Amino acid sequence: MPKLLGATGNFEMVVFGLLTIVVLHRARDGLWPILLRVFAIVAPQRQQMREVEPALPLPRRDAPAPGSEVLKVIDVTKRFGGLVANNKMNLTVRAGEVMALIGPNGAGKSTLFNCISGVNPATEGEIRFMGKRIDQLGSREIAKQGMSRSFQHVRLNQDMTVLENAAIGAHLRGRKNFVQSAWRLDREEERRLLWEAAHQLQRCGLGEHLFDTCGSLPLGKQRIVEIARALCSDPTLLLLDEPAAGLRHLEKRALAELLAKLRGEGMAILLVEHDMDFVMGLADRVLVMEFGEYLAEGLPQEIQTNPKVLEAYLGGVDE
Amino acid sequence: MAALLTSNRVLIAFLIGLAMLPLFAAQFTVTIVNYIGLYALVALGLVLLTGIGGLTSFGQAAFVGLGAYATAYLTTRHGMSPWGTLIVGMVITHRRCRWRWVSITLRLSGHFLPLGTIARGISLYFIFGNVQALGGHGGIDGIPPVDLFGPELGSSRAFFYVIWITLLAAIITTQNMLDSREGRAMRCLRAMTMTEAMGINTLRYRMVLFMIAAQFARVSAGCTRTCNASSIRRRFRSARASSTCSWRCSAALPPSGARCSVPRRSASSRSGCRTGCPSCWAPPATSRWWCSAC
Repeated sequence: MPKLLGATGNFEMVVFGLLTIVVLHRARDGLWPILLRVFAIVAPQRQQMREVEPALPLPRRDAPAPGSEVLKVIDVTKRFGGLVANNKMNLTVRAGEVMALIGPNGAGKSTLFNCISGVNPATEGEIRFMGKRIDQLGSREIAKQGMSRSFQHVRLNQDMTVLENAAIGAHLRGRKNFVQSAWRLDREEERRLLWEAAHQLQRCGLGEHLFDTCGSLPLGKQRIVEIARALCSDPTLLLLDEPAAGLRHLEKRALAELLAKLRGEGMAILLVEHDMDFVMGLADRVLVMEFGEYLAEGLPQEIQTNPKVLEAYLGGVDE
Repeated sequence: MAALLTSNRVLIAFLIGLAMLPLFAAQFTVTIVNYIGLYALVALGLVLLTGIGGLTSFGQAAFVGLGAYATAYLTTRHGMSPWGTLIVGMVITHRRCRWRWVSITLRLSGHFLPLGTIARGISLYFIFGNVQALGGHGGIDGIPPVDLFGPELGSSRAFFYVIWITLLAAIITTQNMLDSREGRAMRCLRAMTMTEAMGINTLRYRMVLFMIAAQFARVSAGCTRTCNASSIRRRFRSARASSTCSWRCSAALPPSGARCSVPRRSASSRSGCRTGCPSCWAPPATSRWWCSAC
């Protein structure tokens, strides 16, 4: 270069700069993945043993008495500026019961979910979980009390395996810190956590996908991973935001069976769903919302014949 | 062919090659590989911080500086062992991380976090440059070399092993950490709403990642300072022995790639003439850099 240009200087900086630009354009994830790809051709990795080692089950939370009040929402209002998304909502969920929350799009169902789980706290009102007020707590504290949820828009780490994603839910059931894990002093606990995650995934029918990355699963199955993750935390109350969306018929039936089984074990379940067949077949009670307000509540049969509900969904019966 | 080359064997071959390198390679190559190791340690911290945690820090240099100054100050002013300073520096970094900056900085969101870290880096640069006890912009001279198991770790060949064993240990412990309960939480930090809803304290994990990255930067800096100090000292000794000041040490001439354009401020103190590149401490390559005493 100096000979070419007839001058001296820090030409290597120019070269490094150009190399950086090339790397940013051609290898956004860095050079290592490219190296690994070449490496995989030259020296294929031996097939690893892909199995979850059995371990002792994790200790479980004390379940509330069947039929006792788990969640009580009293006059909860949520405002976004001038928009009232939830207006004085009331609802109760008992242990061993599936409560369904339905309503047309934009009725404020997910907003209410976010208020209950502390993701986006309510503006006014009172929320009691197992007798304790939780409306002032953050979502982390609420999770500690034994409430777990899934999200309407799947929130999984797409690069981690299904097993690892589910194990995130069991986070609070482990104690070992990062120093201990750096020196591999956490293996016993780790085995138990992963065993729990594998168990919950198998229950949800994802046993054959344990070591697939989440990104490779269809969206419906990713929702099921979310449910398994929530179950890993051994919740008293399970909040499910549209769990059946994107599932095929048989998968829906399997999910309904699973939820019915969980209900039988004394878990309280609150779910938002659009699929009426699914809701009416599963729920013990149904609450209907419209424009952020309470519209009707009752047994599935009552709701199906309720004129107010039919009007909200079909735009009037008489016309 | 395929059976011969498995990933484990390639790894072992790489490690053996690395271990044998100082026995055969030229001094210059060893020095370069040393620097690769030292910078890789800082980069490993950034991989954790930015790659895993999704946090952008432009202030890592501040921690490198903190580490270098901690080592330099404690060895020269308080006569501490360089190994001791590594531990003291770790404690200082840990404290600092925990209470001073990190809990404030890491609450910044969006673009404010990178900006905050840049500001922190700049502020430390000026603090170090203007505190007279730390030698001002000239820095601290006369850092004692490190001894390990008796003999002085005078050569970069000996330092090679210190650096690379540290680096490999850091890589292995980092991998272990990421493959655990806490590691999974760290890998999910980008999806904050979800992690919080799962009961994970995201601020804590961001602080932990920040602290680990800072520690890696700090250890790397501590090694750099002592490593350089040793090589400088060694050059002085040979220079004194030949009772001339012309220590045009052929083995350690600055490589063309590591050229520095700023001459080090000369300080003809007890140890005689001291000039050299401020960043790589290499002896002067051209007459332009010779100090007036020579």
